[in-house]
Amino acid sequence: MEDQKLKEYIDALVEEKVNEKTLAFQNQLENIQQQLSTVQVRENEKITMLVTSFELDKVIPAFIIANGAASFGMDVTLFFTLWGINALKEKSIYKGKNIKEKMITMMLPSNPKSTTISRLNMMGVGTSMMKMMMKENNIETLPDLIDLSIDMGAKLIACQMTMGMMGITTDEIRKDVDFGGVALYIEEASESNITLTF
Amino acid sequence: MEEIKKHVLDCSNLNCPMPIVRIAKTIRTIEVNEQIEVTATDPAFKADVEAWIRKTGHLLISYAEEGRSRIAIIEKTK
Repeated sequence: MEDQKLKEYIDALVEEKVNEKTLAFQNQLENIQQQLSTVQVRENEKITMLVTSFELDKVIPAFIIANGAASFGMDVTLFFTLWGINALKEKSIYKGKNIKEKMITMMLPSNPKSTTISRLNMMGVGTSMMKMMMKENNIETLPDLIDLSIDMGAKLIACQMTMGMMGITTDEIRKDVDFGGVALYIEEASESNITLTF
Repeated sequence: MEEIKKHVLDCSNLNCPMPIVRIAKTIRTIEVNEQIEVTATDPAFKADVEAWIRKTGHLLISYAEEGRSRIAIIEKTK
């Protein structure tokens, strides 16, 4: 009789322990499953580019790579700072700017169409010749590549600090552009498989 | 058996990155198991299309060169 009771007691104890352990395992499993499902959500690869120059020979490669990456189904983000902002300009506005801001506006291209090459520009002769050669070879122009990248889903971000420093207003920038600072860039770059600087 | 629907895409005289961009755009508009016949003259086309296929997981059914033209048939898999 004593033995029977002892056996029942031990059985109950074992069952309790087993249940406890099973529950712990179940929780762990659920946790892992949840983590897996969030991993699967981020299936797209990502590329982030930092564009600090405005010359054709820097910006065109950036946009060719942007369009190529978008064609591969990647998420594409381009962050424009310093001279790079000029690729996003639609026009130059002088009204309301101080003398230094007016001078820098005058010296920089007012839209991607009037952008020059970084070497052998020779007062514009070199750039004209390069543009002619590009046309003869049926290479896309910079404005076309920019429009195409937006069409392909690329995200273009203009650095607000640069805009503030140079006095560039949001009215001078094309409408399909986001504005942000270093935190936005770091967030995008930290999730990226590829980061490039131009 | 049902005939596979084949779309024709002419990328002749287009340069990098346009053939790949055009293919990517077209693939979005067609159904799974449909095909695209791409004609291109870009010298980098073979290397580019093969890389694109490896990365995106679609199928390269055939690739041929006729003079300057490079013809690839691609099948959408997903």
